[in-house]
Amino acid sequence: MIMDFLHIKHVSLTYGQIRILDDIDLVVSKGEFVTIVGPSGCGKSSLLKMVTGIQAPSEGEILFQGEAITDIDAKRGMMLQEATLFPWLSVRDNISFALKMKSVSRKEQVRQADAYLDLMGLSEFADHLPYQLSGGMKQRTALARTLINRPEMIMMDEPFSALDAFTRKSMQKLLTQIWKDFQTTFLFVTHDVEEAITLGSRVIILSARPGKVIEDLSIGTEKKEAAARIFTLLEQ
Amino acid sequence: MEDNCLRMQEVNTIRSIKYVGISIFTLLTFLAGWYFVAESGLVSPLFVPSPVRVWETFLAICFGEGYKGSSLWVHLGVSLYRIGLAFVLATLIAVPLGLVCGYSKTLQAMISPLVHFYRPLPPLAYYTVLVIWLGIGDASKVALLFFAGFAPIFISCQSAIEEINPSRVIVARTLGASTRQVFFHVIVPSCLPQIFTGLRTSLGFIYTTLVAAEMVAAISGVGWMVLDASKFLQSDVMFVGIILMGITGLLIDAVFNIIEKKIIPWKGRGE
Ligand SMILES: Nc1ncnc2c1ncn2[C@@H]1O[C@H](COP(=O)(O)OP(=O)(O)OP(=O)(O)O)[C@@H](O)[C@H]1O
Ligand SMILES: [Mg+2]
Repeated sequence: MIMDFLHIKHVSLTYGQIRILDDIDLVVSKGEFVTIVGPSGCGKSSLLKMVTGIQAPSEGEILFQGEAITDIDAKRGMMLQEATLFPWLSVRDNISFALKMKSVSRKEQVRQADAYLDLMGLSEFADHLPYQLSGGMKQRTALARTLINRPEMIMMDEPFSALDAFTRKSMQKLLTQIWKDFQTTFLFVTHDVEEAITLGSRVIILSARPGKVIEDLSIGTEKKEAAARIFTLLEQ
Repeated sequence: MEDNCLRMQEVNTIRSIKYVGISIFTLLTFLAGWYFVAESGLVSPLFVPSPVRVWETFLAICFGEGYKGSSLWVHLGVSLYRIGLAFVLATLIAVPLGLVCGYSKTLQAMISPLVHFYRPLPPLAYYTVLVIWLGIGDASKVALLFFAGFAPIFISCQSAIEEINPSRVIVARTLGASTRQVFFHVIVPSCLPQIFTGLRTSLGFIYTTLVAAEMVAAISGVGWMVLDASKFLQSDVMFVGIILMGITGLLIDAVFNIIEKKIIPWKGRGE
């Protein structure tokens, strides 16, 4: 049998008396872009925390490449609503943080970071400190910082929800391009259905608390483009 | 865009020049007022010596015979040495101890109560004990200043650790940082702004405790000079001492500001 890339096996989560997530059972294959939508408080962030390894499920287990997730692992990167950059490091040094942790030579750090700066259109801001950046630039820096570590999967918790509509659109475009180029697996939480359809190759809809999977849709490229067109039309 | 930025900078510079001007004006008005009050003879020079007299005394203590056998620079030097030594010792001990106590609840439970007990005590209250233990020499003075400076650093380091955004640590770990690397590459730099605030408060406390420290059995130091002069009603010497302490305090603060801007330019600007 081929090992599943990520298997969330009958996972439930309870905080005290309150059941947050109820029997979530999902298999995610390598290279998928899974978006998760659902009402506020249904446990989307909690689910991501469990996959990240900072929250243990109350029942069930999560297997990543066949092994139970018990702790944070550099194979699984993450990005949050706030960029959470290191305010004392320049944009370039923020991006190359993971390389520094691996004791990669400074020259190689700069070389790789500069490539990502270029990819993100941030070259001019390489030596700026995070507080000098706009919200979108911060998130691009955070994205580059995650990507440079070449994680096999990236968890994102509403990373664009604090951005204005225009910046969000351009971030979505960038992310789609990156998904195609890097072939990384994404687990992307959003409360924006349009965003979920635009980005995801698969959309999972959770019910209100306790969160259950009520819909699991694969979205082909054609359908996606159609949906995107409809959304654009609706906007006009 | 760039043009606008420049314009803004220019406006800001003009504004700050304006405010500096206002400050200088206040200072000059104050000096003039002082001069007239003193020279008019309304108030006895015993209470308010004329600025001219204070200036002459300053020159005399500075370059002439000094005060009680030592020049002003010696007095100032002795005081700064006591302050500096106490501050360095307090920093070296309180920073690591505070950080560790922020990390470990056990250590915090052990050490925190002691710090919180002595912190609100008036320094003079326990100075007497320190003098009995350490004698009347420099040791007891430095110890007093050390205690004055220790608590603020300890407390700010401890709360700095407690207030670190947990997401920052989690992100670092997903980027492959080990526990050790998290400590040195995330925790310590995250704490820097608060550590600096603590250092600054500490130096302020030490400075204000200085006069108390030099009250007992000293024969040198600016604080001592002021107190000693007061016994002989030499108000001009007292004024010199007080003004000098004020200016030194301002200079120390300015140096701190410069260092802070250099080391933690992101302070107070979010992430
Ligand atoms: N540490 C905790 N202790 C107790 N309850 C918690 C804790 N963390 C989250 N919860 C509760 O779990 C529920 C789900 O939280 P979660 O943050 O996962 O929701 P979410 O789907 O991400 O919501 P949103 O869309 O608003 O971000 C909430 O009702 C919240 O109050
Ligand atoms: Mg959430």
